[in-house]
Amino acid sequence: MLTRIVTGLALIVLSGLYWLQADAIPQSPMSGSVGADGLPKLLALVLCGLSLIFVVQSILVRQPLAAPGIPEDDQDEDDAAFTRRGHVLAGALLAISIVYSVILPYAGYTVAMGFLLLAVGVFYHRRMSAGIATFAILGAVVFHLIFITLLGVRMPEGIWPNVLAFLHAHTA
Amino acid sequence: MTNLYYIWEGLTSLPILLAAMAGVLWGMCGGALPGISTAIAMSLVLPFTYGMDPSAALVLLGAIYIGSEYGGSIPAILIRTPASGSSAATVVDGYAMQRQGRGGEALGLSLVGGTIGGFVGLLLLSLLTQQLSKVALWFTPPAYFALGILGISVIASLSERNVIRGLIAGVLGLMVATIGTDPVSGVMRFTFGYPELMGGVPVIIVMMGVFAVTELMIQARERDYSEDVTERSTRLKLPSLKKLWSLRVPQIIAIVFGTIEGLTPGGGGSIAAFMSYNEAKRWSKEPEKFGKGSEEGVIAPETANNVVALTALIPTLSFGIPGTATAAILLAALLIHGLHPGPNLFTSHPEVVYQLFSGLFLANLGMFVFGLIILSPIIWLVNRPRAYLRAGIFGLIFSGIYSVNGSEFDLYLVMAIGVVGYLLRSLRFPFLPFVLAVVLGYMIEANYRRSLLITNGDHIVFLQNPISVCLLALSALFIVLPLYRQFRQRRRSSQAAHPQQP
Amino acid sequence: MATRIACTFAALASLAAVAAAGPALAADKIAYPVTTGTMIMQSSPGSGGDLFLRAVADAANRQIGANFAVENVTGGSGAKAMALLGKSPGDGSMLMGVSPTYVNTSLLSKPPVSYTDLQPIVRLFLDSVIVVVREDSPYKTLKDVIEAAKKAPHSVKVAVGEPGGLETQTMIELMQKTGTQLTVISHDGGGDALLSVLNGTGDMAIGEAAELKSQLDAKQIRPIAAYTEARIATFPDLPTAREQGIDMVVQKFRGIIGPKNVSPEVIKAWEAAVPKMLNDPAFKKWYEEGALIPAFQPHDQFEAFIDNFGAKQKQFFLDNNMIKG
Repeated sequence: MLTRIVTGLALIVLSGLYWLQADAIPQSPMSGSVGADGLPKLLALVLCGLSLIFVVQSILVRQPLAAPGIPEDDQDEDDAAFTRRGHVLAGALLAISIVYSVILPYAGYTVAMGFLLLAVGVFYHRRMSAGIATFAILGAVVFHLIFITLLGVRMPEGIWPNVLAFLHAHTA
Repeated sequence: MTNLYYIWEGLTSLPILLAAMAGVLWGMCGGALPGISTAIAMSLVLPFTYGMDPSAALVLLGAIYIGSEYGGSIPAILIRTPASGSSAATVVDGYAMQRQGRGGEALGLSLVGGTIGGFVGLLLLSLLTQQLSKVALWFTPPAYFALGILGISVIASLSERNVIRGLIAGVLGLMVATIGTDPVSGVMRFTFGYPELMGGVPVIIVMMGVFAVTELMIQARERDYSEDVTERSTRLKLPSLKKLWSLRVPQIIAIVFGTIEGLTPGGGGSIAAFMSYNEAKRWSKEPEKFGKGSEEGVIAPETANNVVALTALIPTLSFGIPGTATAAILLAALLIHGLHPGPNLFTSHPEVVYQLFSGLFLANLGMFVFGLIILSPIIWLVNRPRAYLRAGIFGLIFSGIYSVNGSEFDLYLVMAIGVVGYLLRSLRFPFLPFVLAVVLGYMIEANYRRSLLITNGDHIVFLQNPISVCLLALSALFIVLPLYRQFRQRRRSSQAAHPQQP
Repeated sequence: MATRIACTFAALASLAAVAAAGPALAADKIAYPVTTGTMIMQSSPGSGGDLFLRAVADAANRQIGANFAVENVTGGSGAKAMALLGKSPGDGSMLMGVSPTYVNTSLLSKPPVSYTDLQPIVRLFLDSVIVVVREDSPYKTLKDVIEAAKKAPHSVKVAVGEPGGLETQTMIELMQKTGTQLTVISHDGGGDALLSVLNGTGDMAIGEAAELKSQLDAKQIRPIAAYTEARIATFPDLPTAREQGIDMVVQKFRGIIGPKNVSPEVIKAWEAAVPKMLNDPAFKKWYEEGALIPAFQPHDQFEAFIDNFGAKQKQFFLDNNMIKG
């Protein structure tokens, strides 16, 4: 129940912030009778109203048969995921993705991809193994071949061209 | 009569056959890679078409379009990663089937549904182009608005047990849809100065976030299982004719919405797929199965996608106005060969048009055959040990997202959307209303405001257009009826002393 | 899967073996600092801007001693392409094909590299912006439209492409000049705006002649005015807005820009090449069909033009409250 109330309150705060941003949208004479801020402001009000109902519902409606341990709604097959441990593990995967995105411009696509494959592989395998390491290296090469060589996507090159130029200038 | 000759000539010409086969295979492979849109797959071969015969060039590009619409459903079903906006609706029930070990069945349904959709679309394209191009003109802003409302009117029924939660998720989706350039005045809304947001949050980013990234986060706990549960997939299994006949209603629905969306510019595959999914659920005898591996929920969006791929060519050829971003490339290929699509194309260059039709026929056949061949190795690929498979999916998603716009910003955006999806699901908010609102939000708002401009702010405009009146009345009915039924059921169950609970 | 794709590609390559043609006449070509150059385009393959730049690259390859290829760098309405160009060396190895969008994007959002951080090189064309009505429309001239609008404000509806674009601005300017009230309905693109006129939602549309060509040919729509300096070669009977007493010209330019530090040799090469390209028969056929008006401007003039254009756009956005000063 506490989760529901906190969620509802967070949504009310969100609707308030959204309203403030909507209010800051410039008023252009071309916006028509509704205006560029028409729908956003309506949405902010509706969200606020719905969230209030949600909170009130959570407080008033007593859960029938609310035995400890049984979630308030019907059991869902997903529910097993949403334990505290599940959240921590999900956060860990998200952290790996963030690290990938941060190092991508510096390490370049291929190296960053190798890292991503290795990190996720180790995460699921729960330990380092020669198989995972080989997979990460080969995988990075395959991804390089598909996305850069074949599809011609302009992936970040990272610092390598600069490093090479630097080495070249200093060895020559 | 000469037209028949052109069609025969197209069917028997080797360059056209080769172009159709190469195109459909390339399209299937490219389309199966998340983030590699049909447009990218087509533009990569565009330079090769310059030196080709105009008919073969068009067949090559058209075949890529067909193949790509099908290819997108492969990762959608097998790894819950929609490769394009138009395959996102397939994820819901396709992936549910995969989890139940019926992935091969889902792939079979999507292959057959797509092939049927392709042939029906081709039939409409080759026989009714002139007539259907007039239908495209019926859709004025009030009609588009009403179509969007019809689509969004299912939110209450998509919300499963909690209408308030469903509505909140829907409003959040509409909020995401308001990000970007205002459709009427052109001022920036909620872009916070980021030029990446000027064009709005791309639908594909939302889909990959809510479906793929969210799912990966949820599956993080599977690390705790010591035994390596197989990914439960068998071989490709085609549906029987009897099964196809029993699935006729969702297919007819898909053909109707696919045709409408193909004809009207700016609609595009994702709207057609989601609308077909919604309506298939609404008209289904077993709506409770939707979201839990419904066959109807797979075949409806898959048929719709391929109908769109073909019918989008109707406005392209008859007006010179592309129905989708992808049709724009086809248009470019026509222009490069000195052909001007438009009302005169059919009389000035019938040979090109009719040979294109025969090439697309071959491409549809090819799609079916290649589907049978390439699906088995792909199924093998997703049956690898979990650590490798998951790492591979991560690599695929993060490469694909970067490829959409070549932007690091999009990587953070997709993670943010993924976190929103994770929160929605962990707090037991239904996520379909959110996705639906993102897909339809722009269409509803833009056309609502355009409509009001027509009458200088008077809402009577929605009653002046017959399509809009019908669709709005239908939506109202669909919103009120379930509420009424629920109300009656509640009264009945409260009257009974001990309501029976299954 | 990779091998499969590679196989397809090989098949395609052999299919299109004929495509690789065009012997090089190296002797009389204009000298250029590098041998290969990338021309980036902010819009997607197949779009109007993309086709323009591909044609330019093709014509330039016949005049300049370097090989130019087009690359599409989409995203952020051009911000991504501008950022990439801003980082490139000034040796002419990376250029960008531009239209007014790049100035508008710079003003409407805060891209890391703005139009003032880049160097205009040459202007090639102006688009022929025309006003069209449905074939059975009562309006014969722009004057008819203005009179109708004077009689009943907001009775005339104009369909335009993207919101806040040059077409919308033109219509607002028209209203201000004539003291009338028109209803401007924006769409998701020029094609949608055209459909709007065909189905009667809009009474008239304003757009580029090239986009409207097939409907004009099929006599479904009729042009009533051209927003150009002089009459358009392909529409000799179409009077300009000026001839009809409305002193307005739309400057929808198409040009080539480079990074701020682009070298003088690159500029000189392009200034020498463009007049020759404009006389190239194949290129001429292409741009005349698309009703593009050759409007060559060398670097100095183009730079002044862009400065002026940018200042005008900024004023417009400020006046209409679309940006804050």
